[in-house]
Amino acid sequence: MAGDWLPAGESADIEPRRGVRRCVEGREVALFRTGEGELLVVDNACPHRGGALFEGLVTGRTVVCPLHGWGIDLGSGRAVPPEEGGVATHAVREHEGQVEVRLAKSVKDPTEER
Amino acid sequence: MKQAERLVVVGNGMAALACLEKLIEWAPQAFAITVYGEEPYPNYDRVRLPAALAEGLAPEELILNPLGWYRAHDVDLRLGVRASAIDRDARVVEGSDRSRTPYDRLILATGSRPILLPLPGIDKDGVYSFRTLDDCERLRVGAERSARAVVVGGGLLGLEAAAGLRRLGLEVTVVHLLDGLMERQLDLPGSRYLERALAAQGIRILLGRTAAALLGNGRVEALALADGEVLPAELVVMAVGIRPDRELAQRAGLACRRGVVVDDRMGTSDPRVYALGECAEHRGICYGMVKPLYQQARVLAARLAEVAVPAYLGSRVSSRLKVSGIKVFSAGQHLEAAGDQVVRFEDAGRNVYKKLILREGRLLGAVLVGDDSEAADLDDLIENGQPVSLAGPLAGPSRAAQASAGCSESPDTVICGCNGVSRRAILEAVEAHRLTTRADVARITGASRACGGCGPQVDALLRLTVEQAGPAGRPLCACTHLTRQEVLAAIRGRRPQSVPGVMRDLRWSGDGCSACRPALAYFLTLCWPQHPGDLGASRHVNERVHANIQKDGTYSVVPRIYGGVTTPGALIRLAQVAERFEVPLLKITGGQRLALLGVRKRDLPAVWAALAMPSGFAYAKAVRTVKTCVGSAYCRFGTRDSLDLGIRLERAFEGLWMPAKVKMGVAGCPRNCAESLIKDVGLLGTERGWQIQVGGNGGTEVRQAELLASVEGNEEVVELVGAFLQLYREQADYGERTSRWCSRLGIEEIRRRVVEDVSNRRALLARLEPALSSRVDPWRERVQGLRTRESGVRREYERPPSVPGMVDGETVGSEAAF
Repeated sequence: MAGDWLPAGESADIEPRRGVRRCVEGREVALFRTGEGELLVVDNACPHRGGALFEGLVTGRTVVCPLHGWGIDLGSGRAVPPEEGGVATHAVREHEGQVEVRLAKSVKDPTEER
Repeated sequence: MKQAERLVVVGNGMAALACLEKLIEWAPQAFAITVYGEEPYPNYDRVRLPAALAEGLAPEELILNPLGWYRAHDVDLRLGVRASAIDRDARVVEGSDRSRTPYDRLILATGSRPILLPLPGIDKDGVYSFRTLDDCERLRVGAERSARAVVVGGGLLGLEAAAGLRRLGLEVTVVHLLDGLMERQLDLPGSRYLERALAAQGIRILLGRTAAALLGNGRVEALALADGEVLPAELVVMAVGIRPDRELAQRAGLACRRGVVVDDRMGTSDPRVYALGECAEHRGICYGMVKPLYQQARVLAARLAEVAVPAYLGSRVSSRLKVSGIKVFSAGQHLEAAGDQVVRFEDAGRNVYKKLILREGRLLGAVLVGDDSEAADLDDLIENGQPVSLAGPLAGPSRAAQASAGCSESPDTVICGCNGVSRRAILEAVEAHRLTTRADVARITGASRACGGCGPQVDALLRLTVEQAGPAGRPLCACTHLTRQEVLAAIRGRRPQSVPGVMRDLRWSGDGCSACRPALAYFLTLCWPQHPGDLGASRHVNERVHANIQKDGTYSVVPRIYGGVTTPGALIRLAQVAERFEVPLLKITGGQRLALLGVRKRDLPAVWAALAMPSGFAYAKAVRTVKTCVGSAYCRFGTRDSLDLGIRLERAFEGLWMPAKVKMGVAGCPRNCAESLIKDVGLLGTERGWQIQVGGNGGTEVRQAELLASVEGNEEVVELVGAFLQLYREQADYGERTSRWCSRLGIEEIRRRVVEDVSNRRALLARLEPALSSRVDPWRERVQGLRTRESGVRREYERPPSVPGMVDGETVGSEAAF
């Protein structure tokens, strides 16, 4: 069953090529806007050492973790090879200047066998 | 992992090794390799044997792959062992030492053998062929006890041998069967010019004459010609040609004609057996030059490594006569057919002859004698088949001249014809491996390794890369085809811009990457210091937030403490701030200042406001600390006031964006307590003044600084350091520390531009000035921004807004990070 759409702040707070951090139902997520305006949301913890992804450099649909430079594909949540692992991705929508997120189930790592 | 296949190579010459080098590069570990080498040497440069004879080079100087190379790549080298038979059914190579080596794949690279005319007396002492390093040694020994030499054969090899013997002081006669020398490369008029050039070196040429017999009692004493003339000689070199060595292949039942027949991917009639080099016959042609054989080696290596490269369709060969002082070049057709256009240029006074053959507006062939400066251009024109005008080819400036002048050529221009190495490949290797000498370039790329003819062009390229910062011809990163210099020039030539604007204007592919985006942000600060713009999205978080992110998401705060000199007031403030914000760790850093570690991001502006100290830029590619010793202020050894100069330098250059972090040190005497010799800029006080040392590094790649200049006063120090820093800012690659950059550019070059060339120094300082005058303290700027409710600053540092239904980060999760 899909979860509910939850408020996650204002659209205007998320500038192109930047990320912000929000806490949604106790879960810390990172919201990014790409250079083309697309919004993407993943858990705010790099699979490597838990770095705060929202502080990373956004290039295209990839964010580069500020701690050790791992790339994370924001569409799939997977680490950019040769790194392995990934983070959960969440659905996001914008409505009348507000951002809403629908959290994925408690999947930490999309590459793990379930 | 796949089991390594057994690869046996019969032949240890330039073709075999060129193939193995590529194969090992492309498919390391894929093959267990055994090489049979009949000669007792590892692979050497056969092309340079004549030069070795003439110049008396030791054999080692010709070695291309020393024994260590074979060891390093686990190649089982059987030196001095001839492969005597191939059992194709059992897939075994038998050696002259009775060894039997099984193979999954077999490469035949047996080369060729000199043709020995069946003349009476051919087996007499003093009769030599000239094919191997041993031949070369024998010839050299023979030459020592000889006064007169006859060389039979007026082709490339014969003439090169003749010139070598002449340089050793012998009286030399060349006997050639045909009416013109080098008949496969030259027309008759061209031969006449070459004859004159050889005659001028004292070499006698007999054309249209046939060798008939070698006379002498055990040792050769003379060569008799068919027309009865007898040429007295203690030494005779037979250089009438070579024949592909197909014997082993033939006995093994492989298809052979003149050589071992191969297809377009170097396969023989046995699918497990390949052949290349002089022993191979491809589409009816056996090649005897190094360039085609390297092309074949590449194709075969690709086939074995399962790398896609185009099939081998044959080579277009050009040749040069490698005789000191005589330029001869021939490419494409050297004889015209009916209907071809021919352009001839003759200058008997300078003994220069040039002929171009054109057909349907395209260059088909070129012969140059006496002046080969256009050779590279003409070679390209023939290769590319571009339309040419009659006036063009001989009239334009030669590319060799352009190259030495550092002008731009197409990156795909082939510099080393022998090894097929392009300008781009050389420049990339120079950059990637930080090469500085021709020998390095030869080792890594192969360029200039065979005939050495392109050596001057390689030198020119080396100079060029040193001249320009970073690699000429190499794109900044995969997101653009523009080089660093081109990007900088474009940014400078336009109005101030944002990073996305630059990417759009310069047709970046995609959104940039984590390599180029911060570099572009830096370039913008370099070119437009007074128009900083919003570069945040293209900077690493540290430079955006002006604090250093720690492993737990907190930040460190390191205020500036000029020269490591502090005050009770500053220390009290620091202590109070640490207590008030419950800073978990207060540490004295390696750069003589105090760091507050574990500060929450949202506390940063308040911490900065309470400290009321400038940012120490401990998080940035910028001037960080200036480490000082106590110096003459208190030290009983101090000869100079290091504190004063250190503080002055730190104030002069703090807050300046750099390609990489810059650390300085000022020591008041040669005891060097400030460790100036491992700083990017280090000062050492002496009795007479200051030594300015630059390019030191005490990090992962320890490097001792080099002396830039010795000066007397502090003013001069600040001026020279400023010019040095600006040169570094403009010329270094983004992320390149001064240590690497100094190694690359060379201290002499830096000294020339910063110290000796006064007008250049002034220009550097003039360009530095706007960057210095537009500095602002980023902490104060942000504290004020927050006071004036500036939205960007609030968004960056304030806690996430409370949204109905949204749980504030303070209450859950990684609290420390909020």
